[in-house]
Amino acid sequence: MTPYKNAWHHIRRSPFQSLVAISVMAISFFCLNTFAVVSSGMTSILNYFETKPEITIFLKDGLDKSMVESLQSELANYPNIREIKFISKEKALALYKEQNKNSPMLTEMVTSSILPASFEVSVSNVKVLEQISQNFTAKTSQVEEIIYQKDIIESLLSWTNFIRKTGIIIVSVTSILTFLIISIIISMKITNRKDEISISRLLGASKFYVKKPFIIEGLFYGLIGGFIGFTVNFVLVLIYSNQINVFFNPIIFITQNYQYYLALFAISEVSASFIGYISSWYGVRRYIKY
Amino acid sequence: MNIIFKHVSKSFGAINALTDINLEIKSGDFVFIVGPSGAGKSSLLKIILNQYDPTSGEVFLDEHEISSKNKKNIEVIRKKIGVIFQDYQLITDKTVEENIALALDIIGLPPLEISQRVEKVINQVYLNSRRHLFPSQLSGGELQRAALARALAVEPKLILADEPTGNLDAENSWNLIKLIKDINEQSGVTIVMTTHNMDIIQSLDKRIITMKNGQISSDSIIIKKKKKLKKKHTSSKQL
Repeated sequence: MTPYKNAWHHIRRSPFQSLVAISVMAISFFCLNTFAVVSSGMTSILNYFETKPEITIFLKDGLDKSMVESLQSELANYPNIREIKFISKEKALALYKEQNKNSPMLTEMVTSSILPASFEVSVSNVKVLEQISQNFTAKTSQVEEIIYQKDIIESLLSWTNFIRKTGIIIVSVTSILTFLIISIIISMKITNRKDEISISRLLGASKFYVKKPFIIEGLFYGLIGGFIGFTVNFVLVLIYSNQINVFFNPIIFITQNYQYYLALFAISEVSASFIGYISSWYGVRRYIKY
Repeated sequence: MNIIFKHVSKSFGAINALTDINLEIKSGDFVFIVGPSGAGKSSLLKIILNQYDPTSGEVFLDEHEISSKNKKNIEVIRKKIGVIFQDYQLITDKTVEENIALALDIIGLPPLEISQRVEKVINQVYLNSRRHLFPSQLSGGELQRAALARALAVEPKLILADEPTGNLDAENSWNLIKLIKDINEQSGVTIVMTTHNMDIIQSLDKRIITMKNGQISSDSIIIKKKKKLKKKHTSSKQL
């Protein structure tokens, strides 16, 4: 009887213990996969804002052309400026109508006079935005309002860090629990099979021979648990990714890159097998001493 | 397989299970070890199998010293020993066939040879119709034959049998002993058997080692030698 058959024999003989081991592993790796997907989504949001450093300066009504040009040339003098776009009142109306073309009620009553003209300034260095914001906020006679993404980024960054930390804590706790539960289950199985082990040893079996089926059993729990955890997560991604991505449009929160999921699957299987192996090895080391 | 005990003692705290045992069993011998309960018969077998380490003295099996310091040696030697226990020691959730196959897998035989050997020994002990049954579904006699089949399957050089007839009726006891005797005579396997069954001992003209209080109180081979010497001495005197 090969050690694989022996391991399978052990699993079949105590199906509930095996079910518990697989379930705990699956839950742990479902958490890991979910955390990985959410974390990647948060990173996408952050990247979206970080790679598009912009400031929008809304101008007061009634500024003449020379005043607008003087503001534009002042902006152009800042370093690391990528683009300065002047959005006139008419252009603002056109943009507004384009954005709300499916809601005619919203566009009917709006005229260009109620929309402010603005400058959209994009830069290659976020620090410049800080300077522009400070200097133009002081120009109260020309500038109506400034929208600057710094606050959004800071808030997003703190949320991302929180989610990452929480994820790491949840994954660590579930991994430790999985380790403990599997090593306890393997220990219980060893205790149940004490006679079999001592008989095998009397027949000349080496320690490794009697340990091997239990270690294979731990590996099996890891592989199956990791596979289930990944699969449940992947199925949920397939079902809900479109809805979630529409919500975050234009940001792709749930990645559609299948290579990412392939890598996630490989990581899940390798780390689940490792936890299964380490926990069964620990159980075996503690309880097979004869 | 040759077995040599040199001044072997085994104690458990204040209790001396074996005291200064000196013994030699030659390859191909059939030896009965007899004595009352607590005489040290099982301890002697357990020391041969290295279930116990001697407190003092040395044990050699085919010139390999047996000691727990040399684990690899023990595993190799155990693979050459077939063991039959009074309580059978079969694995309860494995069938007769699987129990035998396990012993063969331990010695590292390939699957094809395992199935051939299982087939052979199952027929040898007349358990063909019971091969797929679990130990709990077998009678005492069948269990003992299954244990014998497992011991024989590895083609051992030595069979240790600890009270193998202890749980058997007269008929099953005789059948088992006949099987073991045939194996000893046909294959030259060394047999060391502990038993209380005096009928069996007296019916076979084999070496008998009697133990008492952890010591060898008599050894039939020595008695025979002494008788032989005495006879020689008397006849030379008459001449």
